[in-house]
Amino acid sequence: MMTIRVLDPGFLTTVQDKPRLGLARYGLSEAGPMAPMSFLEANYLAGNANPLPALEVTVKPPRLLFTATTKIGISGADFGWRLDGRPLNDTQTIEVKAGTTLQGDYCRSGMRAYIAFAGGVQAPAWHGSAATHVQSGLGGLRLQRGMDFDIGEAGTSLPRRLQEHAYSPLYNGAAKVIRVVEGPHASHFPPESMSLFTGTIYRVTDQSSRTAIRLEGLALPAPSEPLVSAGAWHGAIQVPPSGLPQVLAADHPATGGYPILASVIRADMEALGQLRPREEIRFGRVSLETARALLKRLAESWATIAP
Amino acid sequence: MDLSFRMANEAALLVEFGSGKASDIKTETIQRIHRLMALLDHSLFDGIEELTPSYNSILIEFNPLTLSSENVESHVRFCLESIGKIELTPCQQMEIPVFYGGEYGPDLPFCADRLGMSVSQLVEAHCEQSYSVAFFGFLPGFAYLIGWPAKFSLPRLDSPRSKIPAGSVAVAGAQCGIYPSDSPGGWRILGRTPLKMIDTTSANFSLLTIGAQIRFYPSNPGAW
Repeated sequence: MMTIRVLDPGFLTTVQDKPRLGLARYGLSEAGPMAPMSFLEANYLAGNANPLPALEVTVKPPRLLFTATTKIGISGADFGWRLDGRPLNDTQTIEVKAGTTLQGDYCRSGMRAYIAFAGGVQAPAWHGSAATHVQSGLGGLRLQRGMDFDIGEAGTSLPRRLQEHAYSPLYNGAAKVIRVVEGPHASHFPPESMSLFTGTIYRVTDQSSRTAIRLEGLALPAPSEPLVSAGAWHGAIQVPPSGLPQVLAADHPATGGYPILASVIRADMEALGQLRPREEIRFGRVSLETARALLKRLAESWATIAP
Repeated sequence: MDLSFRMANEAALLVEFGSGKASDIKTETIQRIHRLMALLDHSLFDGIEELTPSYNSILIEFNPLTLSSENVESHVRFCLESIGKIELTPCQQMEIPVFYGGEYGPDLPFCADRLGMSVSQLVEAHCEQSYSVAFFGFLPGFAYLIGWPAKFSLPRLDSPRSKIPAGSVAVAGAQCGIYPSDSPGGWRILGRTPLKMIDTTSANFSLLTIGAQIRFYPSNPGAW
């Protein structure tokens, strides 16, 4: 077992792991990585055969002191990572020597990155996962200044390399398109609602979090009749009486009573998790068949990298 | 009974019972949902990832790479056909002690006044009813209880309190609930239970399960 010291926790650095399933019936949503492809890439680069608990870094990076030599993988938003001041190449396995410090800057594009360690962060699994549900504080671990955490044994895996970080959509100044399918309550809305929703540019507000990504822009006409609460999910786009849509994220409430107009497709979860405040986005509607085909294509492309 | 299947997205199916209207929530619908949950749990159908019940629906999340919504729908229909034939484990019975009134139940006098009864009559009325856990939501471990009569409906606070202590037993409309952790809230607080509604060190995260039958009884901090 090796120890990492948290010199600075950054803005919000938490342990994330595969989503914790099975507690929704008790009102607890699944948590897990907001940008799942970057989470997989970081684990792959760290040499882990299967994804292990890793750090999810948000906006402002942590500063970490390594007390032993190990291997790590980093993926996601560009935080300008450095080891003892030397810039590092995050498309390959990174060897970290004992006594060195990992740090970076506020991210320049995107919102989240993952630091995976060979052998994983040793956070206790709770109901099958070490994911941190930030909204409730349940499960996992949130880094605090001065604390130590343990990582597993580095093992003997060979260094790995990616051609590029293929899955992190980078901000290029144009409005990003997030693809959606029609939601279960679309018929409760006035008929023009979906075309209004997909025909307008929304701006991500700084009230966004792992619970929901809040948007400002055109207020949609919300249905007049109240709904009975129903199960909610990561990616559901609910429209409260204000008419401003909110996209539920990994720590979403387990149930909700606002009507759901649309839902972000699973293949675009990475893009959703990389949205940053003030970024402008547009929603593009696709069919369920297309959503399934895009997810299948994504899974196949990942399988060619990490079979 | 009306039954509808709606795609929530490419990886989730919403199974709805009844008309979907709030006025149409029936105990038998809730029981049907609990039985279907138990059947889905026991059927070990590969690819179903998460089940989220509510008053009149179950959200079924599944792996769209291995299952289609048609697969899930036909499995749900199969379970519904067997719903009467399968003996389910009896539901949980629970007696919950409550410190009524005073600092533990600041809204008790208002509620009694509003319903035209004395404080002790209201406590008696609250303890006389049998409740069942319809579903969990709002907060992890927050159980929505049905059984509080509609004739005793009470309005929510005009502006929610910023902090309601864990264990607070509260009512709103014809619903009753127990706050599992400190939280903001707008329900009327009648009292507080010393029981822990959620426990992260226990194998069971939540003290209560869906379908649990509950009765409240008056207690006092001295007894704990």
